[in-house]
Amino acid sequence: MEYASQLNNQLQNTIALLSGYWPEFIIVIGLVVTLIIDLIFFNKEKNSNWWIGFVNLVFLILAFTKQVDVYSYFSNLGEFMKLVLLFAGVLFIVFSLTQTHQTKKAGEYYIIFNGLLIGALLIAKSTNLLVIYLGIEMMSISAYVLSAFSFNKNSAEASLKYLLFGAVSSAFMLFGMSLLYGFTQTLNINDFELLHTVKVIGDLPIKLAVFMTMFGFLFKIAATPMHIWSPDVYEATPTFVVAAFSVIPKLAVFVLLFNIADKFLVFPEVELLLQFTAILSLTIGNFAALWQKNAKRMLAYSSIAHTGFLLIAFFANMQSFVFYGLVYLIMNFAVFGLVKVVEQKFSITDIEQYIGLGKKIPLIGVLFVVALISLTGLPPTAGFTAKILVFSGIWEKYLTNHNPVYLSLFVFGLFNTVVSLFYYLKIPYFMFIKKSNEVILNEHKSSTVLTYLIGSLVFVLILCFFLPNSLMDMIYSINFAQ
Amino acid sequence: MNSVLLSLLIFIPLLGVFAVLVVPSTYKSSYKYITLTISLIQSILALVLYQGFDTSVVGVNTLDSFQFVEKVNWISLQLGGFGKLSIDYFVGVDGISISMVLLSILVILVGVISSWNVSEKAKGYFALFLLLNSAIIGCFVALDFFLFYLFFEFMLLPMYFLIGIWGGKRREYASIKFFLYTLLGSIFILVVMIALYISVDHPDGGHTFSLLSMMDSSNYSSDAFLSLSGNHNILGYPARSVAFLLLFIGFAIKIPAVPVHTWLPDAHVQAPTAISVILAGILLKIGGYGLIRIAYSIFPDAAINYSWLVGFLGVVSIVYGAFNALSCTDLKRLIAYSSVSHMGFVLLGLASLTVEGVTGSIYQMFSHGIISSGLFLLAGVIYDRTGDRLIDNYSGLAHKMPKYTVVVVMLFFASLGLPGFSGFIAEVLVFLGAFKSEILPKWMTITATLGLLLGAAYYLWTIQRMFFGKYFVRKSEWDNKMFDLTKREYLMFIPLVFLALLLGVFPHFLLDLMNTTINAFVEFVHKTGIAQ
Repeated sequence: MEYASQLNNQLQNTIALLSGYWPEFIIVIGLVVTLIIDLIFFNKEKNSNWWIGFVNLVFLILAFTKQVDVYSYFSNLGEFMKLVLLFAGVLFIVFSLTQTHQTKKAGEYYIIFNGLLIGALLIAKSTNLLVIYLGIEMMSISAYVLSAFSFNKNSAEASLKYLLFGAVSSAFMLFGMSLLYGFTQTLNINDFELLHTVKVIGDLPIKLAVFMTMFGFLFKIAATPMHIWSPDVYEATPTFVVAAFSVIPKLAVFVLLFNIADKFLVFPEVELLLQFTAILSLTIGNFAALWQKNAKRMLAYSSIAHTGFLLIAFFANMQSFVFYGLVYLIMNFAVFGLVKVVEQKFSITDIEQYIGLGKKIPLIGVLFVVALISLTGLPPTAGFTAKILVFSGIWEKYLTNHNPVYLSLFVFGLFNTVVSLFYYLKIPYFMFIKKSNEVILNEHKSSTVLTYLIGSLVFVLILCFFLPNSLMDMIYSINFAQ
Repeated sequence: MNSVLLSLLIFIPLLGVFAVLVVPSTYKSSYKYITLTISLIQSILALVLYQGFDTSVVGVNTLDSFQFVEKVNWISLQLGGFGKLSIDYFVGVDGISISMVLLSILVILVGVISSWNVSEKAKGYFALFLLLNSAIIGCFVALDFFLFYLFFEFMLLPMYFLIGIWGGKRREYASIKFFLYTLLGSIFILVVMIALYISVDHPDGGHTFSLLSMMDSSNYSSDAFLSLSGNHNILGYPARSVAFLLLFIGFAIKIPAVPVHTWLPDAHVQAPTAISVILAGILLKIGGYGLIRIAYSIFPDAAINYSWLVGFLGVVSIVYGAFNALSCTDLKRLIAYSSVSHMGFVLLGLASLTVEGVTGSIYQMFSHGIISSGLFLLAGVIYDRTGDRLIDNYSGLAHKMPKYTVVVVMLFFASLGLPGFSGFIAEVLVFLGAFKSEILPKWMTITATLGLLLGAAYYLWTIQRMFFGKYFVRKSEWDNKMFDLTKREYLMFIPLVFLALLLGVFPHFLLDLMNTTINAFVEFVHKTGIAQ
């Protein structure tokens, strides 16, 4: 009898907790609805692509508003970042809506994207090894498929590469996770007492297991040396999908890193691994980007370098990470959007072909300048504020622990800014400065709505520099202690 | 006492940017009038500023003695474990900055007149020009480190495009080199800014970016990283010394001092005339101004220890720049290297840390601002006519262009420091200070005098080659283009030559303006620096 009431209580709790999963449920419902609409109306209705996208948008916005409630209840980092991820999802769909006539297989496109989003949301929330694995696989498999959505040879090749690398890294991660389960007897990371387990099992096996798991995570955020897949994938994948790739999985896995930090980072080696990865990502990302000729490939390396910055922010403090993450989201969507506009107008993605475009499309050129300046981290853009926060955070950490690794994070971060300027300026350089020999480009129509959308994103970047107060207040209201 | 005058000076150009952007390109010729109007309004405001400025009030490190102060809370956040983040919009002038503001407004006005012929992509040109204008004024009046840094960085981008789009043949190389060098310098400054921010406590709790708070040693808690008594080290060196040297490198790139000067000749040679004028007339001064306002004022102890280094690089710049100028075949490159040489005097005077030396240093900044602007305009005159600036391609121009020759000779003499011109006063003061100084060894100052000799050599040699002798130009089609100065060109040169003469004969116009402040500055540096 007593047991029954206990069970009843547990059930009540679980149901109460389930209300926290409303956003995910809504997305799943949206997914199913899309599937049905797609089955019934596919190719019969002229505007079916648009309608499918619109339905998805409605569901995502619904999920977003629900998440606002959930966040106001829990107000911790995971729930806040879920808001951010949903915001990225909304942006992605709004961007995609401007291109409906070009989207092939729109039904699948949105369904798979929803899969990716659900995976990301699960990762951001959970500390259970199984759920994490489930989330990562869901995200990854959706990503493999989405990266083939250009439906050409390169795209298929990139997708296959992504799949192969991803499968191997998943295998490693799963092996690591199973070892951890074996050693600790629990799937819940919050119950881990790795230092205690070390005494029982020994040093090496546990560290090996943690390292293997970590490698799987690092693969998802495209941190060096697990970054080799990303340039190929970024280059061949549809541009908006790349924008989503560069933000959603990355931020989700970073939240995961925060969630498990106090359990996993008990070993100094793991911490060192992450710090070393940060420096490597920054340096290799930035220096490799210098030689790139394709805009999307260059931005792929740039986002590898930004992984390095996000890792530095991870070590600085949560507030600066959240700010950096948000700004990074806006910057990346803006820049990839602009790349898309140029791609659509003139069907070019090589930077050298941007020559003289500043005269033809001055507005796009100016937006490019501001967005890239923000990526470099120069005032007056939010990118600068974000960098200031990260660097002061890491400097403060260094002052308290006097760990030379923190100092080198600080120094490498700063000097990579100078390196990054060189390649970010390449685009404005070709657009405005390099004299062109009047190459005649076929001009197509591009969506003006998209340009305005990007314009408003860029405006937000400038606004966040001059009036960061409200955004900062929001971030500092997050209950980081959990 | 909040005054909006300085804000007006900063933000009126931004209104101009807006106006230029809004007016459609069909009314292209109106852009220059908009820009000129803005500059004239600024000039009137500058007169108001000059009239209202009380020369008896000190400045330097006390808030009460700054004038035209405006302080508005810009970003203020009560952050959890991070303390309080507070960034103020905080501007004000003292004797040092007001002279720089006046110089800037004058040089910008001349710059506008000299860009009268720009017609290619005029909209972009004048919009960027106004943006640059705003950032320059902001940089000189900012009293909050964050604000200073913001304006400092904000000058880079317009400058990059102005050189890159409207420049000469190798403009692409020159503009990116300029940008990368200066950004590297500003990274050094950024490091120190962050370290200072975390070390300095706001009187109301939290941290602050205010430069004045950073100058007050009582605002550093005893265990702060950059506290005056602190014994923190970076890689075995005292933290405050490292911070000072980082700032010095950052500003030395801007000045520029040898060995980080190599961007300057390229940028100057490639930049359009008006931009060269702004670059030489104002932007280089920000390096010197930053050293005085930030590096020396916040780290007086380290400044006293390392002033010999500042002086040494000053002397090297003077001599090395002069030797380079001697070997130049391009007139504009010659003037660029003469700038390196003359900016060396700024470093030497400042390093002496005597009232005479520092006065000379700032006087030299002002005087060089006027004279080098004029010199670049002179090079522009020739370039406008023929599109060529090689010294060897011309000879005996005095026969064909007598008025031009008169102006050239006057400005060359002013630049080489002939008595009666402002350059002379500045150099005399610098040498007086440097000889008197206990910090600088005598051989440095003696070596620096070599720069005067070499200066006379390259200027006189240039005059002899280009203007005297038999009339000759390389290509015959240039012959009919060699007309004398036009009215517009007169308009640019007259105020510059007049001021160079005026300040050479009646130096007290400028000296009175900054005397009190400099006395206080030198006393402050010595007192705080040695007390530690």
